[in-house]
Amino acid sequence: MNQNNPSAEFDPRTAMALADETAAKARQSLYPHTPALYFIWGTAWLIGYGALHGARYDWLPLTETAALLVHLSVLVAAAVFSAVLGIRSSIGLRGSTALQGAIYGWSWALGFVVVGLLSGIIATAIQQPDLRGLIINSMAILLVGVMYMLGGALWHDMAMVAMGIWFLVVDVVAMILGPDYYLLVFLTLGVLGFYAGTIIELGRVRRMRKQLA
Amino acid sequence: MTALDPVIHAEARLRVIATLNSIGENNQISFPKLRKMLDMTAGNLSTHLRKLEEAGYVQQTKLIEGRSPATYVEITTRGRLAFLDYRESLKALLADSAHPVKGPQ
Repeated sequence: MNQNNPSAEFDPRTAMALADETAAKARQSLYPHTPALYFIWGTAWLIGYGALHGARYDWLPLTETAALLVHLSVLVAAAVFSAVLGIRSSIGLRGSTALQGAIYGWSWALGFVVVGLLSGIIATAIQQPDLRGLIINSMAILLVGVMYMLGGALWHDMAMVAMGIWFLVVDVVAMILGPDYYLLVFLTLGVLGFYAGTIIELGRVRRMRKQLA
Repeated sequence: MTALDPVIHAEARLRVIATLNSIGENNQISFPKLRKMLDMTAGNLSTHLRKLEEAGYVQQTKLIEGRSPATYVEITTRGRLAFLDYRESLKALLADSAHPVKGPQ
């Protein structure tokens, strides 16, 4: 069969496999951090909402102020870590996709600056702590859900779209169950969403490695 | 028999153009990042990029980043079309070999 082919080493089948493999590898090395990002955020929510819930319902030896401090610290740490990963993977890339990524990253940052400012106003306006917490957190998670859906649209990533829908649903569940249960909802269903996302992404990486092997 | 584009039909250049095609048109990658992704030596990569550039399949841009010069590489429309054509030719060849046609060759 290779008699027609000048280079017997590089027949069409090998070439096709190499083209597919190279394309898959390129995609993988352009977006290497997705499983890590979901895992980091799942863990940040586990610790952050765990601290709030533990302090509120007395299964952790924390004052509510200390718990809030833990909550905010882990979220800020996760945000900084995400930004560093995002910036690092964008080094050496220019053009329309890099611009999309940068604008997407800045949307998260600026969106959360506004959420932070609004939270301050809500905190002074609403005296009942549980209702205040429900409103502030629902507002933040509304932004999370919408940003994931938009990210999914940008990168044609249906798993990311599903994550976005999941967080919006979780948000609605928290609002329906109300001030007494919202922390539990975010602690369980929210964390579950991130860890499910991590497993799906790890599965993708593994399937691709297997395909390449 | 379909002729395969000789500019693309060489292992190293196929890897280069497949990678640039995945990065996409209107997207530029720095030479060092591309080199790392492909795990090729700088000299080797330069040689293949030059051949691809001569065919009009890739474009190299030199610019100053901070104080040091940097080279960015991107696939051209022509390169993307050539790569798609090449893949179609491969597919046709594979289909032929899967269902061999008896006849004068």
